[in-house]
Amino acid sequence: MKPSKWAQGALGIAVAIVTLWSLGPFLWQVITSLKPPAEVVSVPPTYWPSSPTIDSYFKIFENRPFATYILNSFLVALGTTVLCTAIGTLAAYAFARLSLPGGKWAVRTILFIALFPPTILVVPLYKLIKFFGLLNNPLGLVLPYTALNLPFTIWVLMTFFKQIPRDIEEAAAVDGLSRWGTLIKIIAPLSAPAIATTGILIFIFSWNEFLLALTFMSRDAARTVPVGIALLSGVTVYEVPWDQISAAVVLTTIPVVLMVLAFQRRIIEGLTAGAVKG
Amino acid sequence: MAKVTVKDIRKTFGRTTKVLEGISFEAEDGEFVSLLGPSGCGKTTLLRIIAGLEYADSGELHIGEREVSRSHPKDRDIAMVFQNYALYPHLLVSENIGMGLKLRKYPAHEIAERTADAARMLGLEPLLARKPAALSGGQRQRVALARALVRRPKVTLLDEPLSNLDAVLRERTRGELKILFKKIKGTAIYVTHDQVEAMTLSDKIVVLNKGRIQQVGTPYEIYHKPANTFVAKFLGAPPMNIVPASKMGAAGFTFPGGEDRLVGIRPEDLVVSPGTAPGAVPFVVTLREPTGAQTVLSLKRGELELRVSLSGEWEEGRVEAFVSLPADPEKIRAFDAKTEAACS
Repeated sequence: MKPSKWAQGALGIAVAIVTLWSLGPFLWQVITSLKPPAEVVSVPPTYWPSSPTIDSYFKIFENRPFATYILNSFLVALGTTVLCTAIGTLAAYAFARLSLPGGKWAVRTILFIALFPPTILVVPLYKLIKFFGLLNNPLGLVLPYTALNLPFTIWVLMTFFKQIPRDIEEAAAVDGLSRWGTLIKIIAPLSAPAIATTGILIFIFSWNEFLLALTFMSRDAARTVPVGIALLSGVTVYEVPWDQISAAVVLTTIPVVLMVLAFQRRIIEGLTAGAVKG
Repeated sequence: MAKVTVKDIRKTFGRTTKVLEGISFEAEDGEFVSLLGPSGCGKTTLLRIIAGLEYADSGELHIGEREVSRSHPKDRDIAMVFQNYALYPHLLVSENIGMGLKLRKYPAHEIAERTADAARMLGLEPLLARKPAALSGGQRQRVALARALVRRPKVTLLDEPLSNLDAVLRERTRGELKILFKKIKGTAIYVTHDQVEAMTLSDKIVVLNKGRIQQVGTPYEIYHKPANTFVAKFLGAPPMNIVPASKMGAAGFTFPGGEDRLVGIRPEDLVVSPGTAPGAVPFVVTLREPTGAQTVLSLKRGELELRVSLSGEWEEGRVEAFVSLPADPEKIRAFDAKTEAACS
């Protein structure tokens, strides 16, 4: 049955409300970034800049090495995503398909470890990272981020792998594929949606992470975007450069949005690739 | 193409669940062998052991000259058609069919040639550029078959390949399957719980129950000379009447043979008529089931209950039926009351 015009209209309005609600804060950032500094804190607030300017977008690159921050963030986030999905896929496949002795308990333990809040890990992790000489090195963030995201990755992918009919893998074995071949040629393409989804989430987490990034990266040249934004300061200690902060936020959101869009296409492709049995 | 020899295969799941208890049979070169039995009889496990997807606890398995019971599936030169087809959803039909050849490093032109051959044989040519999701159940089933046959394996293993098709398509595909395997003269091992499939397709049927072979024989032997009461009851619809000889005697039938035996007579071999005849015994009709070409009657006389099937109609409301034994003594089977094995 086709939904009535009323229902369609109501759905449209509901979608508009939800979108506005979710995008509201971001829109406010965009508007703020376009305001001259004086107008940002004016009372009453203006909802549209009286004289829009993109000065703040240039100022962040003059005040701070923002290009370096972005590059660092990109390196860390991409490194974490690649490493985490690679390890996660292998581990999840092993847990899902090979009957490893104690495998069930290993999976539970992994989930249990994920329950620790990262905050209590900061000090011990700092000591470890320092011990390995990885402070101010992108690897000093990639490794802990990977560790923090692995439980989630393994759980999501394991659940997905378990849904793939065993018959397909057996058919692959009869056709002549090894375990490795099956994983790479059959399982991975079939799981592309799940792998892409976890990849996006890992990327976003790594892109946005603040606490460890602040603690482990003390040199300006090694800092990532969130820390860089937090350390943006005005001419005096008492001045908060909201316009620049907003500009930085908008600017650093764009790569994530692009990333998600790129992956999203893959997800949709994956989902429509076709089921096993009608 | 090759001969398959299964020798004393045993398999236990967990500690105690005996799935296969010493299975031995042979499939000759080019022979179509069915493994027939009720669900849980171990037939699929046996097929998986032959495929190498599972390993037997003990026993030998020869495909051709080679002992393969410990080899990887890909080293056994077998192909398998799975119950739910197990096509690769992300690959095109042509890639699905050609995968096995590609992995065995056949040159591209030969892969293309053979894929085209297999597609032609199974009427898949217009579908080669599609993905499995865009195919109907019957088409997927044919792709699975093409994927198996394209490699020209020593043995083709089929695990209930028709069970996911609807009745009409199943019957048609069954016929096509028979023609196909006659043409390629391929050795095939076919798992099914459907007696009609086993009867129509096979050169040889292996009847399994509870992990043991009940009988190995041609469809004719299995049907007409069942080795025990299980086989007798499992094949045929309605199943063979199996009653103690004493009951038959008490009802008024006379025939040679001991009183302590079980008597087995196929419903269609009993002669039934509305009027009396010499040697006929009167029964009361308790149920009349017309199926079109045949009518199945459930009959009762005292403690004795029999089912007979007669070709044609039985007038509704006619409650008295006269039953005589088949004239051919071969059609009266005798089984030992204790062991339930056929008395020779």
